[in-house]
Amino acid sequence: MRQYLTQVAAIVWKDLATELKTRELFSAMFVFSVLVILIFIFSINLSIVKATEVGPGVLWVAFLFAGTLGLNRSFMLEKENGCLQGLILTPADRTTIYFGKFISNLTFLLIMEAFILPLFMVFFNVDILPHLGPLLVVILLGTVGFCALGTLLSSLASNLKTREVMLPILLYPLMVPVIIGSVRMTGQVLEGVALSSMMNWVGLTLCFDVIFIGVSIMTIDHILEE
Amino acid sequence: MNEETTQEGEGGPVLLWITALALLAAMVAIFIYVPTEKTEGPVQRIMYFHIPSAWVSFLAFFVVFLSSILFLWKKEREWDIYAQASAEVGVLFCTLVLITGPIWARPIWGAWWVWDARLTLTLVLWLIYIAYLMLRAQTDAGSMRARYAAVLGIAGFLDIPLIHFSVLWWRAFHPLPKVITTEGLGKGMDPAMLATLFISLGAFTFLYFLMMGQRVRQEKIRDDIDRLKKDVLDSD
Amino acid sequence: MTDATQPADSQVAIEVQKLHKSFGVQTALRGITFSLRKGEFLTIFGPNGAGKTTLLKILAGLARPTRGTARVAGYDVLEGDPAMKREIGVIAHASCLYADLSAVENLIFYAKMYGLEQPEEQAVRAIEKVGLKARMHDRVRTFSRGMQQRVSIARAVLHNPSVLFLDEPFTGLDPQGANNLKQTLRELHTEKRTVLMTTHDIACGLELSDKVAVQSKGRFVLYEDAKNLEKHRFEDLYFEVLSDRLPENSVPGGPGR
Repeated sequence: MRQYLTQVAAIVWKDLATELKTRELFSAMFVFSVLVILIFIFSINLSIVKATEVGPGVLWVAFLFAGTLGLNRSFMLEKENGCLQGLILTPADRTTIYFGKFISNLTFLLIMEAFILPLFMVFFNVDILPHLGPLLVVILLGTVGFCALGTLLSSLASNLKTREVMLPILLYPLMVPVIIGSVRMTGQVLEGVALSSMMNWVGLTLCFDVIFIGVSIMTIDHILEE
Repeated sequence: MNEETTQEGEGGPVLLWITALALLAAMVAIFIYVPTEKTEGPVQRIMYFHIPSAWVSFLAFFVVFLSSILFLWKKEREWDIYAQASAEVGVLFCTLVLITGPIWARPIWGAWWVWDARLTLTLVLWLIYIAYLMLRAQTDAGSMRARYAAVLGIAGFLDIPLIHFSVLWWRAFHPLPKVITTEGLGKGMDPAMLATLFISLGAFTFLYFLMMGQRVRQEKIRDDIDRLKKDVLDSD
Repeated sequence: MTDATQPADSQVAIEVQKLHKSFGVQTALRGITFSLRKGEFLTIFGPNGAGKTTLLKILAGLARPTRGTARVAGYDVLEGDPAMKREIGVIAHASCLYADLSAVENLIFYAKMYGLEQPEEQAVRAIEKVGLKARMHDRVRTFSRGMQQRVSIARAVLHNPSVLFLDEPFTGLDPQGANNLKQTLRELHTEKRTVLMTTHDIACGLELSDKVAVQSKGRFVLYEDAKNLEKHRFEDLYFEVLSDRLPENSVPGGPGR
């Protein structure tokens, strides 16, 4: 067990070390999501629409798009010099590869979201500070779901000829429950509704997270096999 | 799964005739026997195509799910063929649902498309299985394609209940459009209408198994051809 | 594992029987049988598309054979025992190194994945062995092909495997790099290690190995002790055994290789 954790930590550490040196992924994700938010702001009239009604949708679309960018890049790194093959050659269990990539994807996305939130607050003129606690719970639940399924599908898509195109096509329809749930919950939280009155959504997102982490553990062997 | 294995043998012609007769009976029931619905008029008859198509596509996607699990477990090409054939037939009927829906909705609801929970679910399902077929088309034949498709076939089906609840609750926060649910249709329904619907459901189910059988046979013949090709190439 | 095979296992490092592998219509291996004793060095020559890489991939546990059995270091490759992976080192054409990490970071990472004690010390020791200590903190991206390969070798033998697979290691190296590699391989081989290499470089292959095989169209068409062969005679022999098979497969529009 200790060795399992060491191996997972090694993969996470390796991804973080690469990112600290290149800063390619983070900057790309951040700038991209700022652009997404900006484009949405141009297309809606904030003086007519209530910010708490459209804001959450815009926020999650930005997270989703930037996250997809991150997922694509994350497995490209493993493909570059045949590194994935090197990983499979090691005696490490293949679920360590999944969990390692899952945790590093999750870390990148959460850090980026932490930078986007203040911008969102300023651009949409929404005061998120009083609702920060529940908001972070909602964002964590949704992001975990996205990364759980996203890591599985990007490991699959990385072997396709058109991986950049196929990843969103495979991923987005399956993400529908999390997208709807997260947008709903974020909207309600920003209006001051307590989390306890939307336990159905919390439960649904949590179910999604658990189901797809489970599916990934069961099937990752079949995907990484050659 | 036994139905499919038997029909591609001697069961084929029998199933063909049963399906043909059932479809004929359904057509007679839909266009001659069943009375025209009072408020909706003749357009309501499209429901006898719409509902069975929806049923068949759900059945088909369930077969994809089962075959995918069995493939990953047993690693037999047979299950991969079933999954592929069923996904194709399922997408076909799902497309029919999405076409017949708006044709009926335009005169009745006054809009081609309403973001009703059931419609949204069908659209998302269609997108998932279109992606499934695209994934199959993108990868070369062989065990990799089968494994990847199976993973998606499993993930896709497990997602259905979650999507169902999410689109249901999503709409519950807004004033509901004037939706006539199928339950509503069924409850106060004339016995003749109910009978027609069931005949049609049966006929479409037979049609599903017939199409599955044909598609599976076709794929097996393709495998045989590949095997013969390989034998010729190997013979040196 | 029966008792009868047990004593043989201690001497036989690689045992391959009637190995077949096909991808759809294409057949890569058509019944390869051979065995290597511990400490032997086998070089497999053969034209591109002969299935050499496929053979190595199956033996390294990366791909599954369609038919046949193979045992490496006493483990059945079909079982995929993690312990088998500790006995195997692979140097493929791709370096398996993260380009944006430094050489030593790459090795520390792999040391952790192999579950080695004191990964940092092991990594530094490995990089000293391949003579790159001075540049161990530089990114792999800035290295030449030859240097990347040296790091890749350090990665492959980090866990001190008893069996080493090399897939066309001489490709893309300048003469000096090839010379260095030859030297390194000689050192690695004397450490009582079984080596299986594929290459197009006949001179290097003959010089290093104990056994020589020629693979063509998924079969071994020659399997000899290297000391029975001289270089210029082997070159003739190589083309002879290959051309022997030509009339049979000169079908136009044959397998797309």
